Amino acid sequence: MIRVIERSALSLFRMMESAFNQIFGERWNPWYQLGALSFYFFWIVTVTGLYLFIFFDTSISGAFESMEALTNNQWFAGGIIRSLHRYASDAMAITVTLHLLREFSLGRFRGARWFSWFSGVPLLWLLFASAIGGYWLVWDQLAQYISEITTEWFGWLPFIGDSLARNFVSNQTLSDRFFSLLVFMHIAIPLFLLVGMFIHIKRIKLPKTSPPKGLARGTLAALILLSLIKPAVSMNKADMSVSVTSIDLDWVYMNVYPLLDSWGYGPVWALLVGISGALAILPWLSPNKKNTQQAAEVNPDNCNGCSWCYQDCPFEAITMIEHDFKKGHKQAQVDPDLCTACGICAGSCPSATPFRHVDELISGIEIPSFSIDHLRQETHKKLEALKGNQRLVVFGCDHGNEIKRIADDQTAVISLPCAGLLPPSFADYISRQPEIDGVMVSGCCSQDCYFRKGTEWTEQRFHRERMPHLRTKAGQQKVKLFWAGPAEGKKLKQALTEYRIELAIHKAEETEGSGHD
Amino acid sequence: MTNWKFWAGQLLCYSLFIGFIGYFSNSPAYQRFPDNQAMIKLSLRHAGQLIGECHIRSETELAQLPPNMRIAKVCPRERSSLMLDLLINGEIVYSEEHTPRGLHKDGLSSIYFRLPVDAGNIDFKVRMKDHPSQNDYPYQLQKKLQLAPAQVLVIDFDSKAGEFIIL
Ligand code: HEM
Repeated sequence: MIRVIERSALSLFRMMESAFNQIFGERWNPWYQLGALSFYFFWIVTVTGLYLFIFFDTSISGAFESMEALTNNQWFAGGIIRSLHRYASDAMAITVTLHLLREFSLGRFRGARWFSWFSGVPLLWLLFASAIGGYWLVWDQLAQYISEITTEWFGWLPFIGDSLARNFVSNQTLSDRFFSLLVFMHIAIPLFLLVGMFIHIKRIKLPKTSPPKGLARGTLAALILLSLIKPAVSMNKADMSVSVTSIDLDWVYMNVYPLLDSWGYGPVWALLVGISGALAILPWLSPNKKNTQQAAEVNPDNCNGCSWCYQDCPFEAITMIEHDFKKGHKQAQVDPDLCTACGICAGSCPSATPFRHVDELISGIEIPSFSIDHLRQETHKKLEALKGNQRLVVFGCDHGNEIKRIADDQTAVISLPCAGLLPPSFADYISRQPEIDGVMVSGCCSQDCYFRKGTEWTEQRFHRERMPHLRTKAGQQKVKLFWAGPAEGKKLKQALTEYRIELAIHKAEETEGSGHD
Repeated sequence: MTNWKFWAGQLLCYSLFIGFIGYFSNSPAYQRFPDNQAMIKLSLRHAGQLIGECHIRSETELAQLPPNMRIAKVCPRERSSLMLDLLINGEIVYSEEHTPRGLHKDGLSSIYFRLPVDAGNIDFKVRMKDHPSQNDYPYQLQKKLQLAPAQVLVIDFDSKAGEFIIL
């Protein structure tokens, strides 16, 4: 059931992403930057919040007036800053929610990836608490409504009790002390959120925490424009002797408040705790299937301690330790609890080269169920079956384009867990086979590798910017890279056709050249 | 895709994004109550009377105790629950017993209750007992009032004076 929802959500996301690729290009596509955008909005909220704090009167008698003065007397500065503070918070709630849904649809909560998922759940509570606390400080009628409902809602819990709501029951019972506590909480909770955000990405190598410049500028400009068109304003000043009947709610953050009125507090607690609990245990409710890849294994005989795999692992699952038996040398060690079995480490291993003259090719590090030797055997089998006069081999990843669709007599396709598993020397080796005209390596779209870094590292290795390099003497045109998301099957077909034409022209030029000689 | 389509597409997406945020950040207005509704809040903190009699220790009882604990008069700590009723136009709309806080039930009882009512004339009565031996309600307040729409009437209790007050 979970997988069915996951797949439907994924196809919806794929459609959106593909449409946005047309508009924004892959690099600026916001769907690939939802976590980074969330960080970005957090920083906008922090900087604008600092400005607001300078002018904010932290007493319950002066809070409302200080916000009014800021909004009206300096609309060109404080007013815009206030609006940005509000709208960037709303934007963050939206990107975080979409980020959650997208990570879910990609199944990025299973196996070793449970940590980011699990640690994301408390961030939701902290984010909502931060925002609702902010609205409370304005001390207008919205704040009055929030104070009444929130204190009653928390007072419903037996260990808190009724006395919380009493603080906000009438103008006489209001106290600056309690209000100062709220001001303190509106600083403390976002700080906890920030700490939580760092814990959330702790197990990720080089996390994307800032969006590309074009997207960052675009979103900031849009939010500033919104602040100018519709500046954030307060409702009337809170007055506890008159209840608020019609409220200008921020539906992004306070969507459960009407439920609190209609269902009562217990059911809403049950709902929210239930949803959070279900999210938190999702990695164990729907674990990896039994037959999925096992964690990478190190073979000390073939590990020379170069540490390339350590540098390339996207989930920091590899550490370098003393070599088992080579004195003064290092050796990789894999923490299976952190390993996602992507195989990017195998692709980085200098010993994973099929040029080696050994009976059984064992790499210094590799995925046991998808060894380099297995890859060599499978590739050879497919090469033998190729016919025609322009024979190509296409390596693709399971998460990118479905490469099986392009297989034919002249095109052998080999699917990998991740394109990053393919050592450049392997592509080189295949490209040098006399009967092979070209090799194509394809995988997830450039900004959205399922295993985060496979596309980027492969690109760099094949362009000789990252070890191990591609060192083909057969010419760069014999190895071609192509990245496209799974929804872009047509593009892959087209790229393959173009590659065939390119190879044919090159071949014709070569024969012409040798004819002249 | 041509250049203008690229920018126009982005402009549209950004407009939808800020349109969504701009609208939902404070609309549509949430109508919490009908306009002609008022609100009564019952909110008080009061310590019920001690339950049980104080006990004077005899000389022999005192002698059995360590010297630092020889106090002649010992009183029980437990306090009574509060029994509180609210009647509107003669009808009981709230009637509850509130146990005191604390492991030994020796703290205050705290009550908070909110009730939306139609605006207009109301005749309300609030009454409370703070000891089980009380047959009648020693604390009572009855009033006829005209409540304006959205008015909040807060009924509190002044423990020192032993009477209900309206805030
Ligand atoms: C304050 C809110 C959040 C922020 C700022 C945030 C930010 C991020 C960032 C920057 C990344 C790294 C992206 C990359 O480099 O690939 C990430 C990954 C991730 N986040 Fe969040 N996130 C937040 C909330 C959540 C929530 C609520 C969930 C789900 C419950 C979640 C689940 C994940 C998952 C599963 C990953 C991927 C880890 C992987 O690739 O294995 N996040 N997040």
